[in-house]
Amino acid sequence: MLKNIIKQVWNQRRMNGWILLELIIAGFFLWTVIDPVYILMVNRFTPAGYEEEGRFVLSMGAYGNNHAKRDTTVTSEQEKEAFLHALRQLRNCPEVESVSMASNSSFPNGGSWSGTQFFPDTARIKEKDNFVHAQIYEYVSLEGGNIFQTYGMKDALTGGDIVVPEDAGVRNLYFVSESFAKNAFGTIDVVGKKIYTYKKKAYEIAGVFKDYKHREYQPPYPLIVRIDNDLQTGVYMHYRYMIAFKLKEGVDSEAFIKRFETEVAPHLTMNNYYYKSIQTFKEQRIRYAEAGGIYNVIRLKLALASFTLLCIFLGTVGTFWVRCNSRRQEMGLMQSFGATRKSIIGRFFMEAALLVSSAFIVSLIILFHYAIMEENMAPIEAAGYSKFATINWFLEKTPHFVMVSLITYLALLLIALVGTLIPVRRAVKVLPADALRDE
Amino acid sequence: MIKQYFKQAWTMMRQNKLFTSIYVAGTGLSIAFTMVLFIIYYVKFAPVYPEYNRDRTLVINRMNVSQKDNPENYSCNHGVALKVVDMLKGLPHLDKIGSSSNIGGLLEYTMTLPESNELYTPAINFTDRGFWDVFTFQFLSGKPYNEADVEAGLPKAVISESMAKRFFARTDVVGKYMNLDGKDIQVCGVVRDASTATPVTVGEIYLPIHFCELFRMFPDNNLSGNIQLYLTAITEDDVEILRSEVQEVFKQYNLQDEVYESKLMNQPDVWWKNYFRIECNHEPDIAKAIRSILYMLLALLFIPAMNLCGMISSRMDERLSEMGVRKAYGATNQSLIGQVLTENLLLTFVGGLLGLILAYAITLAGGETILKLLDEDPVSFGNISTALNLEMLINLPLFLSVFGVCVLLNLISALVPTLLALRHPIIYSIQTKR
Repeated sequence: MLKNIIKQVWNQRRMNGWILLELIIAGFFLWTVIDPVYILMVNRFTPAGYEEEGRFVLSMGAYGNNHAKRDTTVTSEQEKEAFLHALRQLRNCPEVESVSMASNSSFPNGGSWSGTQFFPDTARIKEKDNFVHAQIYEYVSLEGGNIFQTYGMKDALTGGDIVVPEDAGVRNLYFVSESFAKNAFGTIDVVGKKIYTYKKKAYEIAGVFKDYKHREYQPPYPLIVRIDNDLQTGVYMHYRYMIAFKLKEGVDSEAFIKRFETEVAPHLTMNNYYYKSIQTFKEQRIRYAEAGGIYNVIRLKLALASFTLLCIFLGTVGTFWVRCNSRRQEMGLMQSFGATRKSIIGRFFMEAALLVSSAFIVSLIILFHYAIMEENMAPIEAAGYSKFATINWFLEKTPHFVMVSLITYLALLLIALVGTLIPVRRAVKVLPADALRDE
Repeated sequence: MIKQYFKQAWTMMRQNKLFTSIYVAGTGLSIAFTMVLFIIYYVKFAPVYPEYNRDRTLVINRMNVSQKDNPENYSCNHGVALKVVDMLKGLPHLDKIGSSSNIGGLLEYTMTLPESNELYTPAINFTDRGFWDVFTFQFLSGKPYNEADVEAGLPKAVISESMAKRFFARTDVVGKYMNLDGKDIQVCGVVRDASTATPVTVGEIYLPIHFCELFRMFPDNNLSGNIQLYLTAITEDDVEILRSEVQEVFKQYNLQDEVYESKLMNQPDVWWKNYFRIECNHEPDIAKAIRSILYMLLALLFIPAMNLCGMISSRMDERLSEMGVRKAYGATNQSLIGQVLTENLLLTFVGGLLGLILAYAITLAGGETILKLLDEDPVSFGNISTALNLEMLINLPLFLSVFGVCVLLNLISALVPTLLALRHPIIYSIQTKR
């Protein structure tokens, strides 16, 4: 039967030419539209390295110099006390399990990003290529702060909780992510080893945690967590620090926030600082994706993909409508010889599938040439030090190309089959006698 | 003759309802998407209220400062230091210079609304005096604060019409006070609302730039800061000359600065180019940005055009005998092509009308989301709802472009199938209906 269908498609090649051309162009375009969404989605579903459930960020506000409530006599020690007071108040809430104060660039999906180069040994510092670029998180250990616990980050070696020595802040101990350890030393068994800054200052590694994604739609990047044992005061203090906290299992988040805002928040106002807002980790994630233009990319690409598929749908409906009309007699004849409606629809489906497949083979050849150009298959924005990021297997060249091609092909095929079904189903409903009478 | 063609086309439209509907839907879809793109870019690039001087405005809003002895060590900002305004004043081809700062959104000043007694965080735009000269705001009452007010950071404000109505329930409120962060601010002017689609000029309250202490806190030893600069050239023809004059000022500044190199990265930008400037440490790749827009446009035109080609081709097969007879009686290929193109143009225009309505529907329904769809770093103005106004949607360039796209789509989709059909000899064409 396939041979027969191929012959039929070939015989109608002039009529099929336009839809074939449209499918080739649409196949290429759809691939290039699906590709960036695929990359974002693979990164999106790569494990984040932290937990989101029941986690919040509390921001403090400050009365500026022009504010009527500003007390100009407040000292920097008193400002610090305002923050520590907020930290204590939050920790004393019975619903709260863990609280940590961290810099504003040390929150998942936060707006800021801070990072620098580190060298695995001093000999390599002169050769500038042998460094590892890493993002830096810093938190304050005052009042029992521990972001590993608050964020739910796990030890890469044991899979359990990360143990932070009491004097970690004083000893300047560093905790590094798996990808940092692998980039720097080729292994994750690096506890006790030292890393160096450009100015040859040494830091000892005290632990290795599982790969961590600072941003939802980006791959895990080498990360270093360092600990401060004091707060830096100043006019930007409320921009610099935020408080992360985790609720105990089973606590109703909404009920807690409501209670907190009415009962606890008013007591946080102290020494020119006041409670400003609480956001869930999820809200932070969504806000960053919106402000960072990620949702715009997804919206635009999905709109373009829908447009392309709608065009294909209209194209196949039109083509097969004309075809069904001109082959009514053939359908009648087939039915009178015992062919079922299903088998006739199946035959037309085969024709549509053949058209889509042959067009997509041509698209694939062009796409292959497009894809082997390095910049067109970059798994992430090829800027800065992206080579240090941990690339998901699904974003390596071959699986990446195969997966995007497969998704594109299936989308085209599905929509073409739906477009075929509508006119064909209508055509096969005609009784064989009526169809044959036309002849 | 053309009337005859249209009459025939109208009859055929009514006879072949499926053909007509698929054709119109395909055309409409293409035109709707193209026009949404057009509206988005029109709002961003064309002169709209209160940015009517866009065609002669230059922008500086990024600064990269590196150390001369170690160029790899740099810091960059989405703004320049306020002192750059003074450096550029008096350039021969400069008409006006103004500055504002987009960090107002970060500061979150609060006020109590009289209507509900609720705390409200208005959108604040900090500006200097020149801002009001560069941008063409319509003052409903009062006037902007003066240079002395700005320098002293006095608590004076220009407010938007909607803010005035919200706070005072009327717009003639010059001299009245409103309370911001517990302090009384005197209203000195009320302006017609700017849209969130013009993020540079939008705001509910405009305050003198020195009202906020943060603008005085940037280090004085380099040109980096948090101020965005807008310069208008005397005429549109002077824009390039003004650009080179500004670059020369920076060149001279860098020669005398022994520690830092303040890089403009090919700024100042003409208005439309500045839209593509996202990063603060390097120049934007404008050619790449334009390529991606063209790629999108080509896809929006060609994919549906291939659909239409297929449909016109099958219709030409049906009409081959008619063409044969016309040719036999002396019709030339040109006249037959003209006939087919005219007939299809009618259908294309119906599709164009549908597409335009669809584009309006998409834009109005999507509002701010649609207008920001192509932004890599969309700015949000949570409380302001004014996104679109009439001049953004109903304007001559939009209608001309709809017409242009219709003609183009018609040419792409109808010309090739018609030429292919007409190359058959008369005898073959007439025989097809036997």
